Amino acid sequence: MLKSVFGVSDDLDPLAGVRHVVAECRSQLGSCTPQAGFFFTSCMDTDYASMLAEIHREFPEIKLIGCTTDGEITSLQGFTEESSALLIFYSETISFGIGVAEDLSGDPEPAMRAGYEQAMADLGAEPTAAFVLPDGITTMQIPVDAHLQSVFGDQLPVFGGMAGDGFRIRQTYQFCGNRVFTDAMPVLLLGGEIDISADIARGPRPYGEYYMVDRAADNIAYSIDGVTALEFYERFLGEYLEDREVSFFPLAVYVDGSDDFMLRDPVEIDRKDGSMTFVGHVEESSRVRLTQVTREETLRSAQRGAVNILSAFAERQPDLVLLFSCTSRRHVLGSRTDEEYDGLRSSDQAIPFFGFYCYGEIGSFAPGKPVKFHSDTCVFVALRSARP
Amino acid sequence: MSERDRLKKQLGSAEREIGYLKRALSRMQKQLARQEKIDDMNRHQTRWAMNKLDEARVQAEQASRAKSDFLANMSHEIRTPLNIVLGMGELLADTDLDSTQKHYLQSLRFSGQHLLKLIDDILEFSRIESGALKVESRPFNLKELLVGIEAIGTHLAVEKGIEFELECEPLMPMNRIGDSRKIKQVLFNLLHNAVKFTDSGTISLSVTDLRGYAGPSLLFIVSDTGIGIPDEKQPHIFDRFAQLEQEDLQTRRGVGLGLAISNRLVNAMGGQINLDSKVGSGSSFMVNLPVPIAAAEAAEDRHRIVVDPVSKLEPMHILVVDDIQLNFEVVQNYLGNFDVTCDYAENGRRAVALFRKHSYDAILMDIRMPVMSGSEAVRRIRRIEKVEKLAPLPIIAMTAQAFVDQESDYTAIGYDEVLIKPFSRQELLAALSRYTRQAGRQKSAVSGRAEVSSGADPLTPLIPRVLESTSAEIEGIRTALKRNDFKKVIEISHAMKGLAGMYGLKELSTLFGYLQKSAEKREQQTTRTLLEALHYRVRELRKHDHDNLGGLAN
Repeated sequence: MLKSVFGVSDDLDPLAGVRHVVAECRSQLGSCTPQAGFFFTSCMDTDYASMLAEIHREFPEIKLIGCTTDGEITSLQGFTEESSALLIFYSETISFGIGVAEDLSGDPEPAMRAGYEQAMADLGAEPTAAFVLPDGITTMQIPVDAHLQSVFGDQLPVFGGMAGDGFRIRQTYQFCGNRVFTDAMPVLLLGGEIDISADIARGPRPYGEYYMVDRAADNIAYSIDGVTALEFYERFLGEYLEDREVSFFPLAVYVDGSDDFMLRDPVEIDRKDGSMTFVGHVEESSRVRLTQVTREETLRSAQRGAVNILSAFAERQPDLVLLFSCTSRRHVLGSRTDEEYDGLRSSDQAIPFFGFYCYGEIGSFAPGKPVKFHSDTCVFVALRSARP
Repeated sequence: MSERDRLKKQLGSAEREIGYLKRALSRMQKQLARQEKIDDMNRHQTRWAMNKLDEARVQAEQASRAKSDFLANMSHEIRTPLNIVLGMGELLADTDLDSTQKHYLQSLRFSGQHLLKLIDDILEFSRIESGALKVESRPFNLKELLVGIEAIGTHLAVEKGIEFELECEPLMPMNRIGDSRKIKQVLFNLLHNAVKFTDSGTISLSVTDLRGYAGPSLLFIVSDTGIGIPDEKQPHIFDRFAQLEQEDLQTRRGVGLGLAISNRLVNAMGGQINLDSKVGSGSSFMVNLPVPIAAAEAAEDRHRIVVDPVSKLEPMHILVVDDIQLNFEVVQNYLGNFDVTCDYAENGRRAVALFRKHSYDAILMDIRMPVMSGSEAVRRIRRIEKVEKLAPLPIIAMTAQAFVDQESDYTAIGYDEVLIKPFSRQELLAALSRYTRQAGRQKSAVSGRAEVSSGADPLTPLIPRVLESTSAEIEGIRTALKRNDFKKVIEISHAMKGLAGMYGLKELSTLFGYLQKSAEKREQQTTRTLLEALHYRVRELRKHDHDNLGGLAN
């Protein structure tokens, strides 16, 4: 069985909060030996190295990865911000390995490959699943999913979320072991017999006509439907284009004539050339549609996501559900953010869940399909040891 | 721990608590502002989307109108030369031809008529598919409808060398409410089909009055003793382009739209169409249509089947507006036996002036007129009524434009009803009687009642004058044609088409119709040929004795 314990704290003093979290985990673990863990924190401008030191002081052998976020998700307290959360795994049948890809934006693929190989060496077995936490700011113009596919192959399920920084969009940090990085991607590999069920919940709903991206490079769109990207967005958001909240109204990008679409959030406007920078790649000649964003649809999608992963494990509940939810979802949901996990709470037995609000989500639409980078989604990953 | 230290610790704890709450409050305020902004942006987007939807709706409506216009134009463009071919064939048939020439001509005319029917079917089906089908519920006389259908059925049967029978319940109420044109179209399609697939025996139409729980309806059964339809074909017989076997098609041509059109028309009228058929024995198509009895009929004697539908008319004072005075005289003659006073106006402007001066019970208004069109006059009259708070006066359009669905356009302008030229006396009486029956309508000071005379056609004595006027107009057209003034040619032809039709001179009316179409297309040669044909026919007609003219008419 895959066992997990976790703690969360939003103490005003981040370090005190970590101590509290560590103590909480220790009390739940008893004499069990922790093997691996996730550490997420939305406390900004903090001494992250000291935080990691606190964790390693109590759990020196733990294989830990983590990152800064835009809020934590735990089944203990639901959504918390300016908080820290620690998840610890232990299992007799599952093994873990960690690694880190450094200088991610410089030369992404070799960096990812190095991180993957580190984790593979640490695991010492065939991986069953991978979790990655890339920098969510330095990677904006990088086709993260293409590199992940290339490095991790198309058989290994890869999930994760992009590190955040409390919605300040300045700098994010990643953690691997007791080291703090930026522009990096920690990797956690799981080995052994483990069942996985995943779903991607999308909130924004495309509507209206399809338009063509006339000119784009990487994550910058220059021209859409015969006008600059700026003029295109101005058509339907008018004066609100000046506001930061415009990033909550993504473009639905349809690729290769399929009905599947990616959501791409606009994050930067260049008023000189009318271009717009998006989180994630926007392919030239792809078809795009505008989207509408409502709390109801966001919650409905989360409900569907929870139902889907749980129904896949109908005969025996998952041991743990990991959540990687887009920061825009929690801003759209506002005071109703906590309702995003109601679908997990409504099952007969309490299912532990843990995750964070991120700057982009990683997962595939269906088992066996290539891993993709998403925005405005919530990636649900249910884990269960194959043997009870 | 000293008291001081204890207090200091408590203070520190309280400060932390306050700091924690301040942070939570600040986050909440930020979140609230952000949510308001997101809500505003969503509202803005929704408005934008609604505007786009509105634009799309307008565009779709324009596209739909363009399609309808295209279909209407197609109808004209294809039918016009075909009508000329058929018209010329008809004229040619009246000349001296040897037996071989007659045979060739017969084949030519048959193929032309067949082509016309195919085009009509395709256009009609396209119009139905494009959503242009409008069902109108109006009072109509079933007997008149059946008389027309009987004439068509008999004609079709005689040509094929088979029998036609019409069976109708003797005490059936005849004044009904429904879309008589579409009912006629359905029955015509079914009869045409029955004749096509019957080589010997009888085709029949029976009409039964049903009074089910869903309200009164009529059951029309068109039966034949033809080849019948195989069981496996029956479920698809109402699909478009459904046809029988290849060998049948060679002898019984068609594109398979007649039944599909009928089915859609019947469904649109809220009815059902069913089939009972056996190979080698024949087929029966059963059409059940909700055709309620008109209120006036329901209250009256059910034996009215033996009485003319409109035999009485309240005293009336009406205004007839038409640039051709002979058209006015037709109306005057039609109403000659009734206590109806008719005033005349030669254009819309004069009509508006007379409307201001007199209190009429109804206006019969031509559409195309010089000085001021009928539609403009109607718009002005409706404006005056609105401003002066007058009860709306019944205005009946008289037009030679025969597209059924254009009637709703006339209604939108302000007309109450449309009479398609040439109209019969009964149609005129029926139209006028509908408005005399309306309660609260102020009548002019005329009284009394009159009965319809079933004597000789009152228009017959006027025909020499009509022909004389026609000759003059033909000369007018000739002059206009020399000056390449096609506009004038179109104007005169259109007016004369209506006039000739009103006097029952159908051949002349048809030829003037062809002339108008060819002038609209600027076809010099065809226009001249048609003009000569008209000239010849009018000269022939004028040679006949006055007594024979009644026979020539029709």
